[in-house]
Amino acid sequence: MAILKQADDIQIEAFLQLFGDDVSAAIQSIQSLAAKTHAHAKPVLPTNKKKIISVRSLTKEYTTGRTKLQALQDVSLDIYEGEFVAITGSSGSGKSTLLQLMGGLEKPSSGTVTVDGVEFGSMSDRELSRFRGQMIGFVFQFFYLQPFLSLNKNIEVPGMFAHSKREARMERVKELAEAVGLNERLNHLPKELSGGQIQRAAIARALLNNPRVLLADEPTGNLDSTNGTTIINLFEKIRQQYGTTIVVVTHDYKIASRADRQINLRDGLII
Amino acid sequence: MIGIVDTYILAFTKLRTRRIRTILTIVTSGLLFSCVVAALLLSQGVFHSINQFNKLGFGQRYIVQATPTTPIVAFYDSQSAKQSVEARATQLYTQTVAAKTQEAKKLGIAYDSSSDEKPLQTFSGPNDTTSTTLNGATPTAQQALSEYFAANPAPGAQSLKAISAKYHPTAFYSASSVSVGGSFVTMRSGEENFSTEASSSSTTTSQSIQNDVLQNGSLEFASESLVQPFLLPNARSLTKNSAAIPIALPYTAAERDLGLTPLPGTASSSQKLARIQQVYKQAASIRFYGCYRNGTSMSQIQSAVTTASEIAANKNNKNYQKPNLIYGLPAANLCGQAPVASDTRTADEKSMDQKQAQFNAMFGINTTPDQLKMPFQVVGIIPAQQDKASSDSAAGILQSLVGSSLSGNAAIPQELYNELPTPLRTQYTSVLTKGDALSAGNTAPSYYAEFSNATDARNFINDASCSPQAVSCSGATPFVLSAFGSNSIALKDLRQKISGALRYGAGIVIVLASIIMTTTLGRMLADGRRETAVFRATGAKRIDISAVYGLYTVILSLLVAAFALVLGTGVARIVDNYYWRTVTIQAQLAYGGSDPHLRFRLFSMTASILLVAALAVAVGIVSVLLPLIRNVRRNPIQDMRDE
Repeated sequence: MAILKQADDIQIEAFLQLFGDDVSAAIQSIQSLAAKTHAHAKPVLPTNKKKIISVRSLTKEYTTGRTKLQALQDVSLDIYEGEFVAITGSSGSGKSTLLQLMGGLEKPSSGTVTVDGVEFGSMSDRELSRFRGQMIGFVFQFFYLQPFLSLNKNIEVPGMFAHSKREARMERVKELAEAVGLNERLNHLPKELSGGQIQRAAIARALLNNPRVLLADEPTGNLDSTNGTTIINLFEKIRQQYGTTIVVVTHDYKIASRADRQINLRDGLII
Repeated sequence: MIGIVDTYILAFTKLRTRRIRTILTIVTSGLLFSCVVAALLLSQGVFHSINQFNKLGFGQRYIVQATPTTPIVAFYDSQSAKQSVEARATQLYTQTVAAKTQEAKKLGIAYDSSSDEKPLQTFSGPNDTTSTTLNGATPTAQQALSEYFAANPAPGAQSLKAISAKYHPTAFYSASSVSVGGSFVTMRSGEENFSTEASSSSTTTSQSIQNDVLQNGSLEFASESLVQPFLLPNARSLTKNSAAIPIALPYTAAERDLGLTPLPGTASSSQKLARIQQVYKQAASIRFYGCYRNGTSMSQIQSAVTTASEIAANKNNKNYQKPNLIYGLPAANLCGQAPVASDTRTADEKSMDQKQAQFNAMFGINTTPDQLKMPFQVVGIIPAQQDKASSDSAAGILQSLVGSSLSGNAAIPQELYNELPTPLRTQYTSVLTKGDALSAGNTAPSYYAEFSNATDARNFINDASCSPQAVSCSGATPFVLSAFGSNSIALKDLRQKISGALRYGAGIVIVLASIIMTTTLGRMLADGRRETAVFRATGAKRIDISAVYGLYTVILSLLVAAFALVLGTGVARIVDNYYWRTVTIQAQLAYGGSDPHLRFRLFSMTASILLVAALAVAVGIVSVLLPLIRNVRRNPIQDMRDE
């Protein structure tokens, strides 16, 4: 019902009458409508929140041979500090592309991405890398931990690139391991852990540099429902504990339903 | 930029991924580099050992032997000389026959001019043509030749100095054959073997005479510097104490003089080495005598032997009449004159014989017997020259590379000889230099120029040598020039060639290793694209990625280098352990075992192998550059998406 609260300008009653007891269908319709409302033309600004991510007229094209694929078309949206946003859509709708553009991992064909007031287009690759390391954490569907590094080293990796002090890093690793429930497993290799534990470790890694934004691409896509729920709970906990803005690309309605807001994409457009 | 410890942590994990490929890369590249390492260590070891052994011989000296065309060869190569000598021989013959006829008449003895062979022989050719040739065996031809040789001597030391001047020679030496103009044989066990000496006049020279180091052409006076590498440490005191003619004997002669039976061809290298060390150790104890006899003395000995033989054969022949003048044999250990055993000549016969002797003396035929017993003291051993049979074997090649030798002759070191007491030396010299102009024409002294470096010596040989195929040498190139004593000049060239070959080999290894490492590292980078993307997502800059892969490459290359060093060193050690004893024996044989403790090790550690290690690392770094640049320029997310 968090979505319903945020979509305060939507005639909820009318939808409930229309769908009756089919809450799931209702929610999906509401999500779609809410996303349209938020994404199109003017984002809705919460009165007391600061914009942390701002996307304007974002377009991304891929060229494969002579074929051009429009992954994103004129997308504009805002995400606010501390928000938990779910980007949903079918496969190929452009949601992962949007996430990567928001993380500065890709360059847009046109349009701008601004994070914490810094517009990516004006940054060199070096500056962008540094900024990303400090400001943004990434979580991937397939975890991508280093198979021959113990968990504590894996979690430490972003700190290595940020050139942070080793002692501080170690402290932070312990703190995060505690937070994600892996403090007993720090000296284990990834292959000795379950999928859920690995993903939690990946989340801890993403949080090592205390980023203000956590971008997660299908974080539960490779997990069973129990572990998926654990991850969602963890995101909630992180948001509460660190005030981190969380943007999750997902097919999973359970995650989407837990988000403050959903942005639904279809064929590169926010609907 | 990422810290070095963190870089190492991340780089090291890469080594643990794709282990089989990593191990294969280390093994294959390491094998290639190990070949270079092994070749380097072995070549260093071989050259180091060669240097050690070279100190024993001529190996560190650059001596060029200058061999002039012998006068007899030059003579036969000159049509005008032949005509001139033939004319002179004919003239001498005519004069001699006329003088002999007149003198015989005066002395009242019989003289048949046909007993004097004409100096020119006539041969029938095709189409009824005739040609004449000089009969060198006739006294008048020999006299004409002697006059010619005296007037046209072979190029000598001055010529060598003149043509070598611009190549900066440091010293000059010479060696000339001893020519006694008679019989000169070794008194085996201190005694003459008259039967052998008598047979030496026959056409088939006995084996013992052929092998006699005192035989004409087998003994030479040589500058001490040329013999020095082969002299015993106490050569000078041996000469002084013995008052005998110092002589450096060929190994085989010394072995024989020590009463040692030559080893069979099947003898092992160890046996050969033990023998050669034994010979070297006992060489100073060899003292022997030579017996010189001039033609008359020798004739009397031969007469004594043959007459005694005839008498024995005709013991029961009543019709056999003994010669009127019978010579006996002197005591075998004296080298004395043959005593007259029986002289039943009448007074007239004696008078006639006296007149004949007077007649002969007038025409240059010496009838006075002359003989001298001369002591020799061995002061050196000259390593045996490699025989033809072994020249193609590995051992033979090694011996030819590291060995030093003279011409195979026995040699009297001139300076040591000069230290003999003057009266003795005068007596000996009168015999040892008795050779006439004719024999001098058949053998020319050799001359030697020493240089301070191989380049000068080689340039001198290349520029100033007469072709060895030339019939005779004259003018600006009067000598056939060749490296003397050892292959030090060739060795230097060989060392350069081996170094060059090693460089080429290293080049090939570098190319092959580069291909292998580029492939491996390229694959490693391609496999790591997803990981690169994750690193980039977690804040890695391109330089961080480069540092991780760069360090990974360095670690991989160091492992390749370490593998190559260990394997190459191990192989070189094994080769060394397997062969050094055999090779040491061969090298000792080449040097006569003068230093039995010297070993020919094939392995020598050298800092140059660190260069190979550095090369391996450099190859790795160069190999990773292209794939790495390509990799960091790629869009990591694109790679991740593709996967």
